[in-house]
Amino acid sequence: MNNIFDIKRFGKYFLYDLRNAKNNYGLSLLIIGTLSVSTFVIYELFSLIFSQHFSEIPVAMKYMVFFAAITVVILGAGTKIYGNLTEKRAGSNFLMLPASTFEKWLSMGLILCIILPVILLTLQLGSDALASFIFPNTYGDRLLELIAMQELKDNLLENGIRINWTGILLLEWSEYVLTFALGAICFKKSKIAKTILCIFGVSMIFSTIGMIFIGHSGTLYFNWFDQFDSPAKAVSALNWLINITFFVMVGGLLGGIYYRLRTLKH
Amino acid sequence: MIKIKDLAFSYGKNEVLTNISMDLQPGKIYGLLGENGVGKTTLLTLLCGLKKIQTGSIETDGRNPWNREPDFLQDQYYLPDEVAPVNDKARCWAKSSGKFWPNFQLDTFDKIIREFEVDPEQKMNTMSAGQLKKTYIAFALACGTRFLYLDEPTNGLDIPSKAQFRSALMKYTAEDSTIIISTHQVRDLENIIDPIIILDRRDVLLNASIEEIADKLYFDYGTTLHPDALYSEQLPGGFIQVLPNTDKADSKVNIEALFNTVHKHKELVKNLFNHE
Repeated sequence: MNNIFDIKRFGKYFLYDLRNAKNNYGLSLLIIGTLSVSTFVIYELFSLIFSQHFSEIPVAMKYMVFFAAITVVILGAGTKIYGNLTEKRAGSNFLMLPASTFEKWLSMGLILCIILPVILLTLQLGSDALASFIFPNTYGDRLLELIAMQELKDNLLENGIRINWTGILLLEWSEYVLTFALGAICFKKSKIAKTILCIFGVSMIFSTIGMIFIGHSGTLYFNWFDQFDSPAKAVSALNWLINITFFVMVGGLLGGIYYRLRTLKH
Repeated sequence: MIKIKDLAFSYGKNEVLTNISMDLQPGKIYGLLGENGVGKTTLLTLLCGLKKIQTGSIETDGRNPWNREPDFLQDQYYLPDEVAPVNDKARCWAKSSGKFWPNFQLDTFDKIIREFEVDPEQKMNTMSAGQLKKTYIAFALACGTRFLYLDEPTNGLDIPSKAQFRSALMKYTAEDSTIIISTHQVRDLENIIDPIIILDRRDVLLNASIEEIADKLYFDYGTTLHPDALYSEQLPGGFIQVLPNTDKADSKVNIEALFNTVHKHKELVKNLFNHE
């Protein structure tokens, strides 16, 4: 038996982990994912009470609810699904389960970075499309059309600028959700608050380093941009730079999570 | 077989275990006794790999538990004193978790949980502490592992359940299993634990079988007080007294009295049971 990775054992563990995630966070995710529809219902109820007629829900509110739901999931998912690992009772169960640390880590990464956003977006866009289909006059346009930013993408393409939006968004999601997951398995109490404090601390350190760097070699940085003969190439290079930065950060966070799982004691 | 050699562990400056050496043989149910804070739970968690050894070594069949390798983990089960209330029905939880232990038998789990009179279809986070403990005990026994570490298993169990636990432990564990039970409730497990390990902060005070204990110490349940008794305690209708068994007379070992005797005469008892 391979003690690091065995596909059969990983499959079993992944299904087990998924089931636990469903039990610990399924209902919350369902409520958060359909928040735009609940908000719409509440909005129409209030509209009916105060102005005696139904009115169209403002687009800004739909945006706000959409991004608020994403923020809530980013902040809370790690804590709700894996936060109990720092607690002796549940943590012992997790550590003593016969699967390797690598398999446990991989399953955690897949659930947080792939499964969770896919389910959240499906719920958000699915419930939104359904509401838009049933109440076309009061619900207005579907979120998918609003957030697709097709016009902006077309404009960029016309200028020869290609940006891998899915990749960037996936990496950005992963970075945020893994940061809070790492906080959830590192801190015993006030997991979210302490993670936010750490983000502040780390950001301040990096900002200071960045300021010093720009102060010393800012011209070097701007000169680097000057070498591109078209904005398309500059944006492409910037896109690469952003992707690499995200990759490094996500890699670092995944490494931190693996190390924490391997050294977790109870 | 488990080999513990010169094991030491501390929480910061607070030393919990020092100079612990012993061998634990298969096919035995060890009773791990000791005062509060001597490190019984710490020793169990070191044995199963939940904590990293600081000094000394532990080898379970020649392997270091801290590596937590899957094929090692599937041969052991650790039942902590306090267990987690899972948001799942007991049977569903057992079925999905049990897949990781190759010897796990769902029908054994069903049998034991029914013997404990716990509804396997009940959600675990709605169970009382006792019911939850029984569910975990049923699972631990159904895993059929060769190494079973139980930390205060009878805590929170009602009187009939304690008897059911004893009978299930005897019935559902393999003959070659090494079972280590840490407990303060010695009366609950008096008839099943053998050998007895009594821990102290600095040492293993006693690691002997019941036969060996009965051979070296005599437990007198009479009404006459012996002046040379190592330990005596008044009971309704007489005394329980522990004396050196110079005449090699037969007596029934009283673990509570044994524990108090060992603590009162640490060096004397250690010398009495010294194998070297």
